[in-house]
Amino acid sequence: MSTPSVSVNRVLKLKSSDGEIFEVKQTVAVQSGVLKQMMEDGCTEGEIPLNNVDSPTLAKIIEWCNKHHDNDVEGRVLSEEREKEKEKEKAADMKKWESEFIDALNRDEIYFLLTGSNYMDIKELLDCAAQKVADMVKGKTPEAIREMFNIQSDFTEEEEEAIRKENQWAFD
Amino acid sequence: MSSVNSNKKLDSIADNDDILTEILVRLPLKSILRCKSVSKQWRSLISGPHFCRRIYPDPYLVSGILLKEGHLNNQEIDFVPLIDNPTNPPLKTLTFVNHLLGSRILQSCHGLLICSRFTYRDFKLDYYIYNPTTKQLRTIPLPPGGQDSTIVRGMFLAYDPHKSPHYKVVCVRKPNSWQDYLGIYSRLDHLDPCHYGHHCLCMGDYSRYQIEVYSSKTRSWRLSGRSFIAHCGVDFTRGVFWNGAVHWVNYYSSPSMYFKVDDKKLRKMPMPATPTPDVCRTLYLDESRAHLHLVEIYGMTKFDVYEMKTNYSGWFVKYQVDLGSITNAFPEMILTYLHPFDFAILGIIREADDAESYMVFYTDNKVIRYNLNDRTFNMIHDFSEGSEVIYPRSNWYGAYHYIETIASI
Repeated sequence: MSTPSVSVNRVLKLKSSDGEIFEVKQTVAVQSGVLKQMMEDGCTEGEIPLNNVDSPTLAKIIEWCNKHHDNDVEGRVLSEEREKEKEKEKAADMKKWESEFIDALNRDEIYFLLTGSNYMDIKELLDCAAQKVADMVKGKTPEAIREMFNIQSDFTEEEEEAIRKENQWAFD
Repeated sequence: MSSVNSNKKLDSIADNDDILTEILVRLPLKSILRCKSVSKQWRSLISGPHFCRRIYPDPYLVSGILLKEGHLNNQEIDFVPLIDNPTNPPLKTLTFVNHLLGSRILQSCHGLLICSRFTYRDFKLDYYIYNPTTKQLRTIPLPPGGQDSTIVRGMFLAYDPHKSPHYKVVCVRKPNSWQDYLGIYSRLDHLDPCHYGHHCLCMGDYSRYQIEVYSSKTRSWRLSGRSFIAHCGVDFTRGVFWNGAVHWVNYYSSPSMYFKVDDKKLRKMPMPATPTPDVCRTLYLDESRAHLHLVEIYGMTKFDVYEMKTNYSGWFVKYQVDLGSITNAFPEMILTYLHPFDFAILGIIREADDAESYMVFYTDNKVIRYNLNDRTFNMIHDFSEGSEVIYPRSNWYGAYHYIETIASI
C-alpha cells in the first residue's frame, strides 16, 4: 500500500466545498483512490479542493477512514497465533461499528456520503452506504420506490403494464 | 446538521447512474426486475450490458445443466447445478408453458433458450425465447414464408451479448413450393432428415431448404438468400451458435454446415477424418467460453475432444479423454456402462482458468464431472434415489447450458 511519497507523519490539507480545511494523515488518505493517485503523482502540495464534498460529509468520511486505518495498524502488532483469532473479533467489531455509523445517518447524509465516497473513490465506504440504501429499497413496490426517491414515472400506463407483464415473475 | 447542498437530497440519486448502479446491484434479482418499472432511466440502466456484467461478472459461467429426460411424454426438466450457489433457484419444470405437454428446449445460447411448444388449438408449433433466470418469455411469430409450421425444420438462436444486446433467430424450412421445385422428392417426404434425425438412412440423398432470419431489433423476418440443397445427414434439429454462425453436424462423412448470420452465407464445415467411412457416430458439438468443441465416440472409453480454429481451417485435439479409470473412482461401476446407449456427454465446459475445464457426463444413473486436465472424477448428482431408472437419462440432445443473465428479450 505504501509508496515512496507516502509518509506516516505528513498530512494532507483537504478543502471542502464550503471552504473548511481538514488535515488528514497521508497513511489514512490512501484509502481514497483519488488522493492515493495524487500522492503517487506528487501533487498534494497546499490545499486540495474537494468541490463535491461539503464539510459535514467530509468530517464523516474522515471519521470512517481514521477508524479503518487505526484498525489496520493495530492488527499488525499482534503475534501470529493470536492474530487470526483477534482478526475475527476485530472484523466483527468493525462490522458493528460500521452499521452503527451508517444507521445514525439520516437519508440526506447517506446521500452525501454516497456521492462523496464515489467522488473520492473510497470503495469500502461506498459499499457500506450503497448496501444501506439497497436494504431500504429491497421488497418495496415500484410506487414506494418512486416516493422514496421522489421520482415521477415517465411511463404511460400501457408501458408500465407491459413491463409488469414481461417481468411477471418478479411481481408475483 | 445543515448542509450547503441542502437542495440535493436522496432524490438526486436518480440522476447519478454510478451511484444508482452501486445500490441496485446489491438488490435481490426480483427487486432488480421490479425496479425496471420505476422510470425509463432506471429501466435503461438495468437493461444495459454494463449492469448485467456487474450482477454476473463472468458471462460464460455455466451454473448448471438443464436436462430433459429421455422419455417421450415426460416434460420434466432436471436441473444439475455446476456451481455452489446459483443466485436463482433452479427450475424443475417448464412451468411457464400453458401447454406443458409437447414443449421443449431447442437450444441454449449465452443464457437465453429457444423453445417450441405444441398448441392443440390449431395443431401447430409455437416458438419462443425464454430467459430462465428472469423467467421472461417472448413468442416468436412464424416467418411469413413458413406460416405452416410443419415445413419448419429448425429454429436457432443467434445471440452474442458481447457484440449486441439484440438476437436473431435463424429458421431453416422447406421452400414454399418445394414440391414444384423438386417434384421427385415429394414421395420421399417420409425420409425427411428432421423426423428421423441421424437414423435417416437416405445416404446420398439431398433436400432443398430455405433460410429466414428474424431480428429482435426490428421484430421482423427477412428471407435470407436463395434456397439451398443439403445432405439429409445434416441435422437441422440441433444447431450450435459460435463465432457469429449457426453450426449443424452431419452424421455421415458428408460435410457439416454453418450459416454466418452477418453475411448470410452458408458454408461447409470440415470434420475430422472418420476411421471408418459412413459409420454412424456418437457426436457431441457445443460451444463454451467462445470455443467450439466436437467429440466423436466410436463406442470406446478413450476419445478426443476437438476444438475448431476460429478461421475454420480445421480441428485440433484440445483434450484427450480416458474414462477407463472411472472404475477406480467408482468401484461399483463396471465398464459395460460405457456402451454408447448408457453414456452421454452432457457438456464440455471451459473455465476461465483452462486447468479447471471439465466434461459433464451421465452414466449409471449418475452425473459425473471429469476434469479434462487432471482427469479426476467427481459425482455431482445421483438420480438413483427416489426416481425411476430411465435409460438413457439424456444425451447431447437433451442437455442445455444454464447461464445466468438478466438480458431482456
